[in-house]
Amino acid sequence: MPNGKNSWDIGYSEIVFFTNALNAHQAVDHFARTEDIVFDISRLGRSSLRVVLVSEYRLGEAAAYRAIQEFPGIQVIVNSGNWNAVVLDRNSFRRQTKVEVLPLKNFLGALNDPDFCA
Amino acid sequence: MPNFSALAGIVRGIILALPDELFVGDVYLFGSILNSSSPNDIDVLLVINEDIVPPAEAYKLSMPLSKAIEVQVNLKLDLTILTRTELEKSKFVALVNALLIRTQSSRSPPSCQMR
Repeated sequence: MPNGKNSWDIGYSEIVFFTNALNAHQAVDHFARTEDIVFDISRLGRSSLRVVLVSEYRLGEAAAYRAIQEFPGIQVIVNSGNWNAVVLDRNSFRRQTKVEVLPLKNFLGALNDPDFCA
Repeated sequence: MPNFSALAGIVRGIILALPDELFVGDVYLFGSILNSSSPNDIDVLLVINEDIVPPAEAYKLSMPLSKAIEVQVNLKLDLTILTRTELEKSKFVALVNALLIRTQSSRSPPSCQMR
């Protein structure tokens, strides 16, 4: 699916907010957006990441598995939205799937961590 | 018992009339459908028993129910799926004052007062 349409109801303003945050981030060298909400991020001196941006009221395992199935190869699921939350057990889910699930504010901090998704 | 909009009552009736086999979990309504006569969409919470319905299969299994509701109500459906563990941990039903429409195992929902 090309940019411009996604099945997760992520609106243009949310995508713009996220891309602006990546553009301004000191750990991000460059990134590319595909499938409207998938971001391949190259970090300075750190590993690259394949990230999907979602916006779920409450992001549980069912939605996380849906994202993994729809976007193969993703390493991180980022949940945007100030009133939204991640409710799955992140550690358990990471052990099962090798995929990190984070709220947006935590993800922006994690980008600085060289051990994040290393 | 809180009051809910007449539209919520109509949607409740539509959902209750759907075939039993579509229900893979407990179904709640929340959001603007409960309070507004002209919502933009329907927020539905589906709570699955993760011992019976694998979370990795939940969205696929819920598609027939989602499609049936959308067709009958003619509004876009925004579906949130949580396991029972996630629901208990998040207290989401209480947080958003969600309305239980039916449980997976029963066609008799709790009574609720409509405006």
